[in-house]
Amino acid sequence: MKPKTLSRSEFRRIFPLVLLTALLAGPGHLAAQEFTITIRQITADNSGGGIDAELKDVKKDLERLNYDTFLLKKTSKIKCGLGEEKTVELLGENRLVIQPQGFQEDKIRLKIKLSSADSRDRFMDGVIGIPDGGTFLIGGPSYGKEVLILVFTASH
Amino acid sequence: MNEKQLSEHEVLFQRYHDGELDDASREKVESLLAGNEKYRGSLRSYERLSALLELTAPEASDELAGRRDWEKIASGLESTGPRKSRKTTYWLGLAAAAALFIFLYYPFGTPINNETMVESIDCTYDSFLLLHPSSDGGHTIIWINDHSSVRN
Repeated sequence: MKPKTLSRSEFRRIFPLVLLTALLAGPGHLAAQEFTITIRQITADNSGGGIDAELKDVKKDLERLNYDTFLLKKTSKIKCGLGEEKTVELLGENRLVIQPQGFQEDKIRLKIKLSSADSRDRFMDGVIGIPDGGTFLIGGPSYGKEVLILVFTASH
Repeated sequence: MNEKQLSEHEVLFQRYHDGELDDASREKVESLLAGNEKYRGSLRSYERLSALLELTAPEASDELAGRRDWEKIASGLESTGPRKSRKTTYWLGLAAAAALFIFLYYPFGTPINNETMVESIDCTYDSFLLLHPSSDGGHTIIWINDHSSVRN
């Protein structure tokens, strides 16, 4: 069966309606979207090992810290819906809970809770606004004789 | 039969009388005249009026022809008028929608800020530091001082 094609006049009648729908649905499309958050877990110490070749995109950042050895230990890629909470078990029994909270000023709002392995009373809870595809780091929790550094990259 | 149709036919009859029609139009007029007494009456009235004008004021005949031209122009404008108006409304609507789309999705006036923003931090570790990206690039770093960690 041959599909029915729109005549020019039908198209002219329908097109503004389609355009209006697209405009109105614009901000709403985020609700259906998924956020991808990549978390790289790095350990840092002063054993003179240098910076892992896979970390060259954050080399400048790592060089600002008081360590000389940075090793990429684990990479987790998490897909989260808007408002959806995901828990990531980190090295050294540290725990991370992330929750995308939508957009503000073109940035992905990410709620993050990082808690310590040895005491659940010690935590860092915050909301970060990150550009789409942007990166930020959280470092410092202990991991044995080393410290743990997390590199977050978020996109939608 | 409506007035508009009659008026259109009258214009045709006038042009027929003045010998301005091509063969096809002339045949059409003749068939109309053959089938309708009212049309024939209309043509006769026009012939009489034309003859009278020719007799009393030859220059008025030209004036009549001129008036007929204006009527044709007005009739053309009337038939295309609403369509043009709809077209204008359509394009204006489309332009407004496009402007709204650009305004919503491409806020030209607002500079794009690629920096990470820390909206809030609640920290029960010993302390924390916020390191902004250095001037030559880099990323925001939240550094937690966890005294249980061992520093060499």
